[in-house]
Parts: sequence; structure tokens; C-alpha cells
Amino acid sequence: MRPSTDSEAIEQEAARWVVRRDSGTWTDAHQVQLDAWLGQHIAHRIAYVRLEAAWEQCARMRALGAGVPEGVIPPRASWGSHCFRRVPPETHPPPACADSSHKSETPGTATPSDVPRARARRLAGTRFLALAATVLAFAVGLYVLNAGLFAGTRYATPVGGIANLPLADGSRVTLNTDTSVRVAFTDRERRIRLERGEAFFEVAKDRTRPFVVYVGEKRVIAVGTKFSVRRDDDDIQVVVTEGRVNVAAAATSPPHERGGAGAWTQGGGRDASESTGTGLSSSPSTYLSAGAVARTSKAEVLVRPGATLEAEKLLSWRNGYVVFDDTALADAVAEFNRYNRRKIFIEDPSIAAIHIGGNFRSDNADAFLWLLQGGFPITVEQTEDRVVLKGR
Amino acid sequence: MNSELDEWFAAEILPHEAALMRYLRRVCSNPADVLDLRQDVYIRIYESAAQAQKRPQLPKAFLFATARNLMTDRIRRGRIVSIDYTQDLDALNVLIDDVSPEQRLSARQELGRLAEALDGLSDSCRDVIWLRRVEGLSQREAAQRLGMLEGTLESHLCRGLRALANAVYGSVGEDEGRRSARGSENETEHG
Repeated sequence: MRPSTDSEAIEQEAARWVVRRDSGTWTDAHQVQLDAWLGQHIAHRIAYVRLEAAWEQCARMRALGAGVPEGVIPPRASWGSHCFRRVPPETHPPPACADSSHKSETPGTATPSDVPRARARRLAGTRFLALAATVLAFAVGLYVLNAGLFAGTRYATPVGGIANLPLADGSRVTLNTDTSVRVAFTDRERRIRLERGEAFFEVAKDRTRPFVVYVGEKRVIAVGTKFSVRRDDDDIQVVVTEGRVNVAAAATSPPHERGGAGAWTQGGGRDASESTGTGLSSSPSTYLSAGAVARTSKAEVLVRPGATLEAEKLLSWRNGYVVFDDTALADAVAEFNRYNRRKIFIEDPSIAAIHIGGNFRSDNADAFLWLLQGGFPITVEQTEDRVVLKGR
Repeated sequence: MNSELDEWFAAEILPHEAALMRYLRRVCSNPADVLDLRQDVYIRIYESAAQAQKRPQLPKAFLFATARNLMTDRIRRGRIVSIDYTQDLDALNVLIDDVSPEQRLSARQELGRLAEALDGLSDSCRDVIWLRRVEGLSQREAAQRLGMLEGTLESHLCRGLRALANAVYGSVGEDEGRRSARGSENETEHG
């Protein structure tokens, strides 16, 4: 019988790395070693990803600690099935065990009511449950998909949809058309992944946990700001309307995970002399302030600071508008198509370069087409499933 | 730290591990080999996804197709001739529908499963996981509380993490679990 030492040995090594990374004694040298080990073989990386995801999930066990006095490790099977079943409201108050509808600190009958709660007893599990049960503000066609164990909760809008979500930390996210995000708050980080589309973030201040939007191979890190992130395949656009954000590559270890909490910059220490983030940056990370519009494509980040007017136009979708200003027809059509299921096609290349301007409601393609037909040498042919523009 | 590919893998492939393991066990009766097989399937998936332009539309179908192809390749190349592996290629063509569908667990049910997993650990692993993950003590504090060296604590944490991972993914079989635990009990502490 062939002993399976390979996968088992790899899993053992991966476990050591996951545990060590969380031990509080992590250094840059450790990171280098880990990166080297991960790079040696895909099996290493897979084992690591698998165990790390499980480790994150273990944080949800904090909910089991509700009402348990500090220093006491409950014996096995002391949970009681009531912890994991919905308690009907008519019965007496539920025993001390986290439950999504009973987030308050009632100790219940199981423990004395004057037991002080341990300082680290932020119930990550409760927070997760609370997020899942969050009441959503207005939404047009919002889909909430709980991926279960692994990557947080996914929210998505269909084509033409828009949704405004409150998050558990007081932040708000507005999703534009055809957008998909995953939200996963951990102890160290408020993590959002923008999978597709465009979203606007109003970030509540929390100095202990950076708010990080992962998009493609980039990270946008914020504290107490308002900004939007838009993704078109590999091209990423960031617009900041308030405060500042840091745009960095996601591949390197996030600065705040090295050393202590509150370490923000690449250097690993609190940086008092942050740049104002102007101009083209060749450094790995770029700071953007209010009014800045940045576009990145792969490694390059192009920043236009103080572009407040442009910023406003780029965010007009939040009010249901798309704004064109000396915009080529091909681009205007592409933008409109994001919001509408019935797509517009340009048949004559000669008209694609016509420049147009104006404010249009994103859901009112008819007005847009009417303008084109009336004001330009363009004919509009509409069928049930598409619109075709031709030159006149 | 994780690339987008890693996150895709964790979000779209790992949730099907339980089903994958059931499939692999049908095909191969040697528990020791099943884990290696799973690793090989994951490697193929990861490499394939890394090279493709877009992520596969149906991750679960992709996962099972990959597993099936891997097994077929191996049997055809004659690398596997022992009686441990089914020689019946048709058995490999397990339809997705055949495999019992994963239930979408509610958050509460998931918590219950975590609690069960926790209780399934050995005493020392359980204590260590509780103090570190539930009470949130630092490694040093937990080691002091339990009167053990930090290195020992790390060992217990590793064992506990691996066992919990298997429970979380719902994938471990009795034999594999026992082997894993037995093999690791002989470890000495690591510096």
C-alpha cells in the first residue's frame, strides 16, 4: 500500500504556515519564506489556500463563546441544540449562544448575568450572521447569494439594476448595473471583492480594520472615504469624492498584515509624510485624494488629480444618469449598453466617431436614440432584440 | 495575499470537495490514495483555470470532468493496475446528478457543524483551538494558560486546523481521518 506522504506532508507544512502567519510573530523574512514555498509547487499553494479558507471560517466559532466566562472551555456537547435551531419567540429568552436574531448580550439562563465579557469577545460569528440578515435599502433586482463557507456574501445586480446596501460596519455600497461584489469582513480587514461592474463605497471610519476593495490584481485601500471602483475586464477606474484611498497591487502581502495593526504603507510603519498622490506613479502604490480619477491597466496607474467635474460626471449613474461630454458615439453606445438588455450596434464605422454630449437617464434608451436620429446623420433601426445605427 | 485565482478556487471549487471525495472513493478503494488523487485533481483545475481566459462557467461540472479525465488517463496509461482502482471506465462517468446535492446550509447549521467539528478534536487540540480562535488569545497567552511551550501549541493548532478543515469541507472519511490523526500524533514539537 503506497503511503500518501506527499499530499499529507504538504498539508502538514501548509498548516504550519497558516498557523504561524496568525501567531503574532510574523516578519518580512517569514513572508519571503512563505512566498518561496508557495512558489515551489502548485500543490503547496492549493493546500495553503484550502487551509487558510478553513482557518478564516474557524473565526466564526466565536459565536460559540457567547456567554461563556473567560477562561472556561466548555465541555463537549454542551452547546445544546437550541443554539442551532430557530427559537420561537413565545418561549423564554434564549440561552447564551449566538443567534442571528438575538445579537444582544442577554446571558440567558445558562450563566450568571454579571459575568464580564472578555475584551476580545467581538463576535465575528455574530457579525457575519448580522451581515447575512442585513435589511437592504432600495434595490432594483438585487440578488444576494450566500456562498456559504468560503468567500463571504455575494451581491449582484442584473443589467439595468442598481442597489444600495448598508454594511455591518456602517459603510454603504451602491452597486451599478451588471455588477457583482463579494463582502467578507474579517478581524483584520473589511474585505470587498469587485468581481465585475462598478460600485460606489461610502466607508465608515474604523482604524482597526482597513476597508479594502480587491479588483482584478489590485487593491484599493480606504479609511473614512467615498470612492468608486469600476472594472472593465483588466481596466480599472477609481474615482475619489471624499478622503483618500491607496491603490496598490494585490499580489504583495498587504502592509497592514505585517507587524502590528495600523501599519498602512508599504514600509510597514505609520507614514506621516504621505504623498499627495499626484501625477503618474511608478511606485507600487498610489495615493488618490478627493477629486482624483485614476485609471489602471495592468501595471500602470494614470492619475488625474483635482478632476472634480469629471468625477461628478463619472458618478452620475448613482442618480440614474449617464453623462456624455464630447464623447465618441462608439463609446457612448458602449456605455449605454451596460445599462440595457437590448444592445445598440453601430453598423457604419463612419458614424462611430461622431461626438455627442448630454445627460441621459440610463434606463431611457429611447430618448438617446431619438436625439441621435434627430440631431445627427444617423438612422436608427429597431428590432425586438437589438438596435442598429446606420449612417444617413 | 491571495490572488483572484486563489479566491475563485476557494469560492467555486472547494465547496464541492465533499462531493468530489465521494466520487473519488467510489473509484478508488485505497484511502491513502484518495487524498493524493484529490490533490492531483486540484492541481489540474488550478493550472487549467490559470491559463484560461475566463473562469469556467460551471465550476462543479468542470471539477467533475477534470476528475473523470484524470482517472481515465491514469487507467489507460496503465499506471494503475492494482485491484484498488475500478477498472470499469463506465463507473467513472458519474453524472453530476448522481452525486447527492450539497445542501445549502444556513448560517446556523454551519455553526452547528463547526461545533461538531470542534468537539471531534482531541482534548489538547480542542483546548488550543478554543483559546486561540474563540477566546482570541494570542499564541503566547494561550500557551501560558495551558502550561505548554509555544511550539507544542503550534503543533496542536496545526493538527486541529487540518481536522477542522476536513470537517468544514465535509470531506473526510473515517479511514482517512484516523490515518491523519494517527500519523500526526507521532510528531515531535517543531521549533
